[in-house]
Amino acid sequence: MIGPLNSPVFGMLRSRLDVLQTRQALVAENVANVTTPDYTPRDVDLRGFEQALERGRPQPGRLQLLRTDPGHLAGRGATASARVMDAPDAEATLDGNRVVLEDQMLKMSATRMEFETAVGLYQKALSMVRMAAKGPR
Amino acid sequence: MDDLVSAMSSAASGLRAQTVRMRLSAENLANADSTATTPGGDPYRRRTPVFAAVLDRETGAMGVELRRAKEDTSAFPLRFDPTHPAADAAGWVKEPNVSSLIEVADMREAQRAYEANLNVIENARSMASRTLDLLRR
Repeated sequence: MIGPLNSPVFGMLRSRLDVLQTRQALVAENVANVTTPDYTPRDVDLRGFEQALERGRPQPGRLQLLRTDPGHLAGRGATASARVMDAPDAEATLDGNRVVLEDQMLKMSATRMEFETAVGLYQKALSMVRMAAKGPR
Repeated sequence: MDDLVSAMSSAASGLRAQTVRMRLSAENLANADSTATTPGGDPYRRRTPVFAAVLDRETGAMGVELRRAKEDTSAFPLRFDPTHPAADAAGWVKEPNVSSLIEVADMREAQRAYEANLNVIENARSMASRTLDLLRR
């Protein structure tokens, strides 16, 4: 079904929220393993994700494939998912652990801020759809 | 949402691991003067935690687990005290290989890691509640 909720704005925000949640889970894993010998922290490939999102962004003058059925192939729509990769922090301890707590805390607050921004934008977009649905009063 | 739940379970496993570590430090400190009761016998041996990353199959989260408490195999310091019941024929008493300085430093590290894990839980919780707020309006 084509509807306002399938619009690229919502798709982009949804994949952004997904990636940020995954990132938060990975930060949690890294912090939990801050004392595990030979542990290398992991993170999502944010740059790759943003590039994929950019490639799928609707551009003026370029036709978009529409999905009118959930069974259709997605094509290059306005959604993307992120790859998980090893992301060792700047220092390593003697036992081979590469987690730096400060870096992880920084990542955690950045993720939270970005998440709140995305949720706020989602809310704004939803309220605009709601306004359109209500019609003139 | 799944990722946020698995973030919390990773952080919870971190909390558990750090409390066990704290307990081991307390045991070591409590037994810092526990010598043998038989002449020439071995005193209390310091125990250290060994952490390992484990995959929780239920949530898919990478947590941390205390595999076992390993004994510190370093040599016992000797004290000359012929009147002690644990003294050997030459009058030397073996003291436990516990250094209170190391234990206190270890406890500080455990405390810091514990706080970091608590922080992660708090963050994941607030992100989840922001998402749930979308339902309310």
